[in-house]
Amino acid sequence: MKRAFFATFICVLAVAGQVVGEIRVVTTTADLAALARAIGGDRVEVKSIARGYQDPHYVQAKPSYMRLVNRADLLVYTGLQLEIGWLPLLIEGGRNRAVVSGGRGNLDAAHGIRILEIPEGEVDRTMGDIHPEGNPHYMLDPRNGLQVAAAIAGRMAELAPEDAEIFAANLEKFREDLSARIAAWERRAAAFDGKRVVAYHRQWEYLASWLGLEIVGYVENRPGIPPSPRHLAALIEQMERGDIEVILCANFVGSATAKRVADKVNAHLLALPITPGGEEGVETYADLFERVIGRLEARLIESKGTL
Amino acid sequence: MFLISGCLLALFCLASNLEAQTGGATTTGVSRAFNPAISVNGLFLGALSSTEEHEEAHEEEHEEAHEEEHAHEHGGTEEGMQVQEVELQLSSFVDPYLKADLTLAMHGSEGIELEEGVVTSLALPASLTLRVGKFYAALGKHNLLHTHQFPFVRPPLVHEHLLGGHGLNEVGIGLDWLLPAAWYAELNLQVLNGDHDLFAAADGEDLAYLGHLKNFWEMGESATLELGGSYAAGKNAHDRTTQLAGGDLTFKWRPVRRAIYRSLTLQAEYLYAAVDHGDESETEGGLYCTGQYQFARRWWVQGQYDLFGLPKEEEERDHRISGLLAFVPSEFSSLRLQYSRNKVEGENFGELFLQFNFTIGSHPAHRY
Repeated sequence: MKRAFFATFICVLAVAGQVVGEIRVVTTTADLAALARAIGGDRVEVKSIARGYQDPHYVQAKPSYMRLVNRADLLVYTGLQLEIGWLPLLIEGGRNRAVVSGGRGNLDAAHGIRILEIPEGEVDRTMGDIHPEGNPHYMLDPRNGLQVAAAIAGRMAELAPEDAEIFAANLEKFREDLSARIAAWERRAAAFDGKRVVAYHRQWEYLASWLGLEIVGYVENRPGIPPSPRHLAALIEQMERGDIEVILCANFVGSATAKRVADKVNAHLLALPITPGGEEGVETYADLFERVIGRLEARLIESKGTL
Repeated sequence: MFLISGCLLALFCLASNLEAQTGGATTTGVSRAFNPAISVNGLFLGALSSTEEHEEAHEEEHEEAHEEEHAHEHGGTEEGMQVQEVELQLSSFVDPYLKADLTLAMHGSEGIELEEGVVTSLALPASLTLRVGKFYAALGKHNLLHTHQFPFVRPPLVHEHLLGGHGLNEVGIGLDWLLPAAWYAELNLQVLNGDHDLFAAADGEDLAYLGHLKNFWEMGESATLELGGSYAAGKNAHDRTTQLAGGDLTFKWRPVRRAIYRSLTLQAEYLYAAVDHGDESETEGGLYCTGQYQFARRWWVQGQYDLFGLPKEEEERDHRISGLLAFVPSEFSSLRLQYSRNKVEGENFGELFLQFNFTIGSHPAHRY
């Protein structure tokens, strides 16, 4: 019995294999992975735990992800408790000294971001599954992406000083490209500045405040809690009164309820990707905004024209 | 002057803001900033046992005291309404090297018991974790669960019979090693004090030893497979060896694009005990198979088949079939209705349970 047991795990050991020379980066979400790829280039190997089309709140803490964390040199996460249901277990199970809190390979991307919707006063769960540190969906404002990219470049340079110049050059290229695009997107968005919309989840505050959209209501009024019929009735009335034509929602939301509300008031349910990889053809961080703004234009400006 | 008062004002704002964030740090040293994360879990249970046959049989054959004992042996579920368990969990980092987790359980109104109290290492090299304290031994899957995490109201028959209502919960030292394999493979080696009846050595000095190997594979992005094996051995009250062996297989499916609406878990576990009494040796084993299907965001339907007494003749075996419907309004509460059909010690009886579960306090992470 014992002999067979030990023979098994010695076989297991023999399979061990490791890559050397590159920084192994693991990110919690696909947007952070896109930035890490842009900055690290061929000097890094990047893996994202959540797929682009997956709800980052509800990722499962699969042991296979612990193995990724175990082998990572750098762990980049969104923070603000977005990953609280699963990341602590992955870090604990990863048993990797480099990426535990306080380690050199642990990068909280929210550090230094201007955070929206930090709750004022007492917070409790009658408000739903609220994020007490503020709204964590800051990557939907590309100006925050610039800041996070700089933080990633800084940390990569610390981990691999010999490649610091490469990271700095990649960051500069990324910054120039994205800044130019941001200016162009802002010009396009001027066409729907001040437009009023309803959103499904509190996912779009950063995008809205950047583009000048006004979010006047939510289908899911308490985060993570399915809406009550009473709330939906009030929302429908509000949308009719305010002549609101669009409901924003992430494309992984099973939107039966949102669809019902949209149909009722003859509005359009706009299911958008929230990270790179969220839809076919959305590969880079810039692709994401290209797609989102294109879809907003098509819906908001077109509908304006028909009025 | 203006500058100084401006600075003071800014400082004051900063301080009050800091205070709000850290939970009231003061110069008195009364600060909430480093309090452990606290959560409380409550389980309320209503139980009905069906046939008179079951109770009559006991009244005729046994004294009352024995019946109570019998009820306790079978998970301590009595008829009527009861506070099944209230658990208080405290969790915090001790320093840069250690994390501590405490679970205090109150069963009914019987007082407080330290269910788990573990200190875990954070910074050992070579993918190792060391744990010291009182914990659920790594014997398969079900033994690791706290009462409120049980997929059904009662533990499987084989766990009730072999390990008792509280499972194999021991004071000991454990080493967990994430093997450098091409898949997720974790080896747990544990040295246990051997307080459980199975390992209660006469001189009280002998320890029990346990090993568990867990293998885990991803099958595409939505499904996973886990295969585990456990073995434990230690001296028993007869100064001979008690051996435990087990195997577990778990399949999980959860489509990533619709993760909160649909999921399926299939699990089977086998557990076997060989107790050497000296003049004779007793071997007993059993298994359970469980299916859990989430058919809507807040609804689950579950089924379980339980069998105990495997090496024995059919007449001596115990069976149980259970069905369960769960309504889960949020991550923090659930209401579950379970019906079980039992054939235990030759008696047939049904049981109906209604269980309410809630969690307050810090956000729980969900073990896979």
